[in-house]
Amino acid sequence: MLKAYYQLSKYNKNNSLIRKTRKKKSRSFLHHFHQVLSPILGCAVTQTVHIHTTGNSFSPNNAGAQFKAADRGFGTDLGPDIAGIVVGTGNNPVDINDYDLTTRIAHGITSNTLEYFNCSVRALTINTGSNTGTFELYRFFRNSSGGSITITELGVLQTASYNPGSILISYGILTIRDLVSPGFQINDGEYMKVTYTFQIVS
Amino acid sequence: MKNKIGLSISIDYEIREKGKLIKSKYNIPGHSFVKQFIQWLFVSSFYKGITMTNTSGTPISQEAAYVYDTQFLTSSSSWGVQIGSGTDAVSINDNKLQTQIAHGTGTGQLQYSTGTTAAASTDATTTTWRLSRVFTNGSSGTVTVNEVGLVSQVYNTWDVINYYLFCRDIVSPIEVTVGQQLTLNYNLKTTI
Repeated sequence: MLKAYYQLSKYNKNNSLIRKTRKKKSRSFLHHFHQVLSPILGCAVTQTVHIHTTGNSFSPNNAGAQFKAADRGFGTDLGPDIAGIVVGTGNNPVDINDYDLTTRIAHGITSNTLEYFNCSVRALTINTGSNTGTFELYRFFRNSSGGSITITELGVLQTASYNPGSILISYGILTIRDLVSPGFQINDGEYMKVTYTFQIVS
Repeated sequence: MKNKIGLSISIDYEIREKGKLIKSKYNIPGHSFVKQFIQWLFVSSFYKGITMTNTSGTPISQEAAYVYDTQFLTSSSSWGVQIGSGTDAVSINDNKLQTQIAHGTGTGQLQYSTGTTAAASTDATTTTWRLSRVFTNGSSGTVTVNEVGLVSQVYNTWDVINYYLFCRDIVSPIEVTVGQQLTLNYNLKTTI
């Protein structure tokens, strides 16, 4: 069984913790998670069909096809709000075919935007005693919008990159989406950290 | 079987003889993603290499850049759905089946067909994706399957393939008598 959990915390501008939610079980590996998993188990990546955040579909060719969640790497990376952990203000129920958050918050410092910092991964740990393996994907955000923002949805957009010719193309595909209820308010000047923990149990 | 939130595994099998269904069992809960699976998830998430142990027991510095250069399933018994006769309890550190049943018609062997995958099917709350393989007993005696596994094929550099065990499960003994065909399905299901 592969499970995921999410946790939100927020800090003031001096990096002091203000609030932390308990770790909650993520409900929502989406259809696209299979599309990311299937190529290495025998379904050639060219046969996978992905729908990216604009709602359009594409099938990568085999040349250097990649899917990554943390925004470190090569090539034409997407904007920070189209890759890695993303947050939003929508509250539509999760649909297994979702391809974007209902209302994804854009990266920025204007009204109703958040600054997205690097999305990173904490080292993988294997616990032989409990037969578990765990790692964390996390991201910091800062509210410089001038007002408060309430987060009601989270997701993980994996960057799908491939090279159909002479130029690398990248899209964001949504593999996880969760609703946050009650909403998590982040005030102007505050930082928020969102952590997804992935765990297998053998 | 009750759907569990997350990514879960179930296993089905059917035994046929001259086309006639002899025995079947469906929705056997699979318990056991092993270390290489979450390592792969880590590699593909972080886009950073990591040392993984392949099915030969060799530590491999797995690069992320080639992790998706893939091929269709083949008749190779080196990857895809595998079966074995071992009965040791599953450990998260398993990197291969305990005793894989070899491809062939010799004693204790089964003939591996080309693996197949079905398109992912989706309903309101689940997506299920299936990998299947047929094993034929062309030997002269009964062969008993006690363990099943799922092995991925991952490129390390542009032309070097490695095989990594992702799942291993112990099943109640499945006896495949001479001439029978065992169809084994691995179902990977996400539930919201």
